[in-house]
Amino acid sequence: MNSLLNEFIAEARELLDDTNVNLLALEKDPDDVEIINTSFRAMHTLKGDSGLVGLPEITRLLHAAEDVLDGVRQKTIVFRREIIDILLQVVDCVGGWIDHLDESELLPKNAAEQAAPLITRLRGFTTDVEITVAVTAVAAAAPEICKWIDEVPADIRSELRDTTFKTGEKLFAIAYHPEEDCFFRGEDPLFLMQQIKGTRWRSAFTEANTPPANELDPFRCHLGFKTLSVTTREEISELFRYVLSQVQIVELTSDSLHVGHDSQADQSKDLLTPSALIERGLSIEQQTGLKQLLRQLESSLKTPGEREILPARIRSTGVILLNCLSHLRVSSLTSTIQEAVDKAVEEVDAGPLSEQISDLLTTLNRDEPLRISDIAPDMTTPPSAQVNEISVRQKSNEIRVLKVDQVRIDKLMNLIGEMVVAKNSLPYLAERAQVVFGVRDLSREIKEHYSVINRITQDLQDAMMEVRMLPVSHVLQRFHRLVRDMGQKLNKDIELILEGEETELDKNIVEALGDPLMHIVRNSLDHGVETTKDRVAAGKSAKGTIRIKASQENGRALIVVSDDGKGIDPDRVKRKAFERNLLASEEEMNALSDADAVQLVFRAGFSTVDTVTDLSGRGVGMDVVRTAVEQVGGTVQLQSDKGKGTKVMLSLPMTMTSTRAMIVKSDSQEFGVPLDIIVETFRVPVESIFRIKHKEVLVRRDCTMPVIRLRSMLNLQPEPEVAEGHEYAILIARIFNENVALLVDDFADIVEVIEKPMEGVISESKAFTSMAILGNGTILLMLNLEGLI
Amino acid sequence: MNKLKKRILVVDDSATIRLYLHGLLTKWGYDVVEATTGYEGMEKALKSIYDLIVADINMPTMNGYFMVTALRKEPGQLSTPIIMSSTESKESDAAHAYAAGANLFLVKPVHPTLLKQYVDFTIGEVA
Repeated sequence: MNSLLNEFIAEARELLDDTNVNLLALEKDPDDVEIINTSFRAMHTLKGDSGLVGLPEITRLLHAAEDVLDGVRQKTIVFRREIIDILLQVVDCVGGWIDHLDESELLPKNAAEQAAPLITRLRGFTTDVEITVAVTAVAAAAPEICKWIDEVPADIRSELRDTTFKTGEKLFAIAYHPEEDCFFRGEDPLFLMQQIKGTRWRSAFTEANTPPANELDPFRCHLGFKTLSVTTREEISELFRYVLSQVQIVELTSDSLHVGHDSQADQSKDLLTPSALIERGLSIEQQTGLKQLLRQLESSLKTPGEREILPARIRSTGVILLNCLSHLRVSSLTSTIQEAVDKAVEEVDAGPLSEQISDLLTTLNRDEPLRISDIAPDMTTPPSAQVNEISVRQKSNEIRVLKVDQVRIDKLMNLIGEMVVAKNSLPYLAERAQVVFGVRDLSREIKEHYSVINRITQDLQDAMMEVRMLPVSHVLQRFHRLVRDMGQKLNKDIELILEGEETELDKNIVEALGDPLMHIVRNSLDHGVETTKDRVAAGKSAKGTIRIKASQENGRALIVVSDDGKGIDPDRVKRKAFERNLLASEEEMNALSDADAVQLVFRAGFSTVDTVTDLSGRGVGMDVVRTAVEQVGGTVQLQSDKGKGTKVMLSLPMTMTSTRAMIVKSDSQEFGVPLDIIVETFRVPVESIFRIKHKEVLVRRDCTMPVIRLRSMLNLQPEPEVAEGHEYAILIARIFNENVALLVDDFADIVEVIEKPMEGVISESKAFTSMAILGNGTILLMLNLEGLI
Repeated sequence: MNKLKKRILVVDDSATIRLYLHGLLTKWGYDVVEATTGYEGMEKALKSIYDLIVADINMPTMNGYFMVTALRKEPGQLSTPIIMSSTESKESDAAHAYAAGANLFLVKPVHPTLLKQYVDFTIGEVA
């Protein structure tokens, strides 16, 4: 494959990953300009790159996506959730193509067909805007004016209605859209407006085609005006005689000024849009306060409580809402709210009222084409946005300095491994120098040299490990998407909280974590967290939480996945295990404690789900999880509180490069046991080993455990008969959550070894997991205790 | 403007907090009545009419939750807006407050700006 394409694939994957994360963040916080910019830039870069490597399908699709993001950025497209949905689909689609590209250097044959519907939908968003703009421009003057009449404060309207029409004067609504180049013709729109006599209310607005503040040309007019004036048509016509085509004049009747009509409720909600509120003097800060307050009211209504006090809670919330509206001088919604309160009280269900609140919140969050008051604060954003951009770039430069092929790193890693082994031969050499050749001084010098080399290799090894370290966020980030998509599919409202994502682990371990974690999170999504309805019924918050927390502890990485779902039912697990023949007898089943019963899910072939779902498969998950985690030297623990949630804890070694092993001797041969699984080593008198039904057992700390003789396990010479009073060397290892006593001849040193996989014929052996080369050049076989038992 | 000042009942056992709230709320043109315990708060809330009650949670003799629930349970089913505040910022505290019958929840120390917004919006005073 050519290197350009290779580079493109690598970069595309990175950009798509970032975009995925950004889009999800954007969904949560649609106002974050920085995220919109970043996503836009990513799409843009990728589009450019795809053109460079000659992949027109990708270019076309991304171009459409980029346009939509640009629209969102320029605020010509109103942000909607479905935009995120479709953009995520685009990311998936391109991601699929990239995989295909990686395998075959070609895009899938049907790429164009795949892209077509996406492009159509994306184009839908962009043309949408143009159409609406065009329609409003063409539409007759009257409806447009009727729309903005409601922006006039209610008190002015009612006053006008009460006074003007009674005295028989005529009231005109005038909208003036000056042409952009009006200044060059010597027109002065504001002066013209001020000339209108009998003006009762006046407001300025920015036209829909106003460019962003940083591109604003001060010599072009982007302002329009609207006014309500008591005057005559002749006077207006006279005043605007040179620009009549740019003015809409409508004579108002008392009906059009009617206040507080239901049909006006929707329109008066327009008064609550961010820009409308700013126009009426409500600062961004106050709006934030208002939104926070409304959100609290909403969640307070949704909080379950005693039925007896619910009507009082609803009424008091209603009081606050009505007060809010009067504070905002939006009186037209009053009746709607009052009705909702009455309905809610009558039904003893806060639902109708909280709907109203969330309606209000939607309006408050609604975005509109820019208005003058929005532009003013915007003036300051371009420079600061640029500064941000630069600092972001600098940051990413610091992080990604160099990209190296993984193969090279692995090679380097292996070389360091060899060196550690080679270095370990020096102490042997020193001993030989002294014992065999009898040169003490040389022996001492070799030892001195050894300590220097030892220190350097140690540092080298540490540095190498750092290179291989990867933050766990690498695997955790993708769960945002998983939780979102599956939550939607399952009708569950679930929030994913990630903690300690920056915890670093060896690359191999991080990669090995992906699948087990996926199983666990899926289990939580599918079986753990209940549907919103069930949650509310159980008195829990409607929103479920899945929390993934990574941390370091005692040189090991700890990853805890917890949810606040319904937990595991121990009785159900027991019954199932019995049915699946995982438990020998009913007595065994009944004797099992709840905590132990829950552990049965780790057994192979266990499943509590009767129907197979496409989400978490056949329920064999936990078995797979355990195997996968143990393969990289980790352990899994599970805690579950029925009704309260489940917690799965993974404990993993930080690195896999070198292992500490204890050497044990049996029949004058040496074997290695990983230090991780050793609980303790000690010696016991021969007579403390009992026999129960042909099996040898040992009691240690009130705990009975089976005794395994290494010699007989490996078919070595049996131990010579020993007299009473003699002591056995016992090593207790923890295997499958149980302690096993291993009887060996003797213990030797603890060494640091680099494990190498078994190759050739001996790889068939179940007795050993791997081998390592010792400093004296001999080979140490690492015992596979799981396989031996 | 010659209209009646809006009245706020502040229930808190801390003299400092009362002083703080009293100072701010009076400055913004509200009438403030103070109560130092849940019992006193309840008595005062039932004896007169208030536009808003600002209540602490942790108070001796009768805690805030209890007081609020009791007020909401009174035969008159008090529908005065209630803001509860506490130094505890746990989400469960807010939920507990809502379940008890409070409408809003603020974490102490409450910033004056936020407090003003909350009180203004809740009472409907035109700023």
